[in-house]
Amino acid sequence: MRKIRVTPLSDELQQLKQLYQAECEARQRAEQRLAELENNSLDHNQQLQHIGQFLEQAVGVQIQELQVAKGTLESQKEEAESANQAKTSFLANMSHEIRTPLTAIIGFSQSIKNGLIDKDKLPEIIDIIIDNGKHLLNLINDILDLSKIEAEQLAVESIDVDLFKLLHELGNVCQPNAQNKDLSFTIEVSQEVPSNITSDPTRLRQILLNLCNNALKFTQQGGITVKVGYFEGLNLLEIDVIDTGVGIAQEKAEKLFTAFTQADESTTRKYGGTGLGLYISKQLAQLLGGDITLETELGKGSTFSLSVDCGLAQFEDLTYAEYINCRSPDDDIPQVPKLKGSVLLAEDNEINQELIAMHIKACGAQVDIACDGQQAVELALQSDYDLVLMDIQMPNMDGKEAFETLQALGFTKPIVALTANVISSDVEVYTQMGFTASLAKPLNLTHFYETLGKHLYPSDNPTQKTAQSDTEQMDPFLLKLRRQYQTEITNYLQQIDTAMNNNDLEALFEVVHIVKGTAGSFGFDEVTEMAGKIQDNLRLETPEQLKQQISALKILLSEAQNE
Amino acid sequence: MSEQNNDTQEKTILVVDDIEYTRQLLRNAVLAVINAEPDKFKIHRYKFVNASNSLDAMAKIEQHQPDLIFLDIELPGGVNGIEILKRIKKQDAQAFVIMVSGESTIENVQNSLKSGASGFIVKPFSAVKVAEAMKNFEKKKIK
Repeated sequence: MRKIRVTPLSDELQQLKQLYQAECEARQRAEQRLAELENNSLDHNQQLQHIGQFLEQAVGVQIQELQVAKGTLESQKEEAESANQAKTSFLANMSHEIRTPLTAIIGFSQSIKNGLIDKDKLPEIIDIIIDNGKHLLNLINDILDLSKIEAEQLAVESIDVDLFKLLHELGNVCQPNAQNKDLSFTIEVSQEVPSNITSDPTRLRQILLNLCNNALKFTQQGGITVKVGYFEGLNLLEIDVIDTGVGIAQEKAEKLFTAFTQADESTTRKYGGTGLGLYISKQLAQLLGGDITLETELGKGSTFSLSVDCGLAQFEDLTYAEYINCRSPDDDIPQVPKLKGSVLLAEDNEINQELIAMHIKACGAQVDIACDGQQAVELALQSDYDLVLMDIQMPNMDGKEAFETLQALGFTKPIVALTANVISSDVEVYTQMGFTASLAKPLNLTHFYETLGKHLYPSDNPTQKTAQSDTEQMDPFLLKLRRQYQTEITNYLQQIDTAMNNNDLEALFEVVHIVKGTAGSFGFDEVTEMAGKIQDNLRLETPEQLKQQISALKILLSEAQNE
Repeated sequence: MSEQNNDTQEKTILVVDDIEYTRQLLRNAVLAVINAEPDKFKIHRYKFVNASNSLDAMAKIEQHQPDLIFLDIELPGGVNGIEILKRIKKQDAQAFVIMVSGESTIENVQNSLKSGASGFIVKPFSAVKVAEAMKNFEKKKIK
């Protein structure tokens, strides 16, 4: 029997077995690894999915936002376009509004010129021309106000306002218009309302007139009530303009206080007016420390409530009703004053020259005309004028230069600026330069007559041109008296000086009064005139004006003494 | 001498015009003004000096150093008033000169101002006009 050697084989087997095991293990490990990797890959896939979803969402949101933004921009663009459209049509509308009255003015004037109007129709046609002119002026003023407001250039005053007087004048203007339409117009002022407030009277009047005129326009029956109240807590004046008119639809009411709205156009065409009033009024009210609000009901009527800040307010025991009763009947039409004296008018526009000269001559005074600053200087130096009216815009030499030239030569007579500028900063310039005052063009007759009255002489007591002015022909007794008077003049001069130094207006008044009464009898007419002028204006003048006039009086007295 | 520290010093007023009558009228007008407002113009004591032509004027200026000069623009003798004004101002920049003329053409007025005049009056003149021309003398404002 042979023995088989298995040992090397089992070694090899062992080795193989080991190898196989190792392989198995390796394979296991590899499978494990693979499984891990698979898991990782799944995780990653999930993560990628999440990221993918997240990105989708985010982009989706972004797209939404962009769409919303696009929508907003589109609607803003629409708004801007429609606002622009509104502005364009506003301009076109305004252009039409301006041309219409001009056509009437020019047309009717030409018809008159060509003799096409009957004599008895003439007054009516002239009234039409005047009315259209006034309407045009109102329109232009509104447009200017509007542009100033848009440019934030509008300034309001802060001065004392006689509230009762303002309300009374409002009534005077609106009452007749209301009566013409068979409407009532009443003003009710409650007890606690102040008699005076600190505000801008011009703008306040403007707002109230706008509200009242609107009320009158849109009311066919019933009437208008203006209720005035005062809120102590906020120091606010509240004025409600209540009408029993047609009322305003809600959609229109919202747009009422805006400018450039389409809604206004049809109303403007139907009811007239400028269509800008309420927007301007609201802006003005806000500038005056208040606002305008509206309560309205279609078919019932509307109440426009204006509030303004009162600033420093004065309260009187007198109620508005009592105030009305105390007043004598008002004539708001300016009365032509009776004056004499000489005026130098410097104005380059021929039509204005004639117009203003006519007003001056209507008072009884004399007027010389200069066409530009140079002529103004020449004439002012050549003759003795009581007042110089100086237009600012003139060719060759303007009003400011002429003023400066005269000032450099010591000219002391009053010089009043005539200017189309009503911007208060420009008017300030004139006052600071030394102009006595400024008058706005076109001239307000009341202010114009006031100015003339201040600087010219009243001619109610015409000074007699005495035959005694010629001393050679004078009665010797009178001559002696005259000489005596001349020595008296020294006393008068001293009395005047004393009164001026002591700021004693009463004493000054007395001396001037005596001088006025006596000088005329001895033929010293210029002294009498000067004294008369001072006497009449004593309480109205500024200290500067008074000083100058007293100085002139003293010089005239001195001259009289040497005659 | 125009720098007066002492108000009671006598002031010299020179009147230059070829016609005596005009000089007299001017003196009367100035007198009326001074008597009316001595404190205003600070003229309490005064003396008038006259000249009838440009040479005389320059001589009197040198001699008296006037505080106030009235000068006729139409002075005869070849040299016009503006020229004389310039010469006066050259000699004494502080001289207070008021031009006197028969008319107020803008050229004369502007030339006078430019050449240093402090006032401009037109014949016939009133005392008030003279006072106005002297207004700057009150404040001793001299160009």
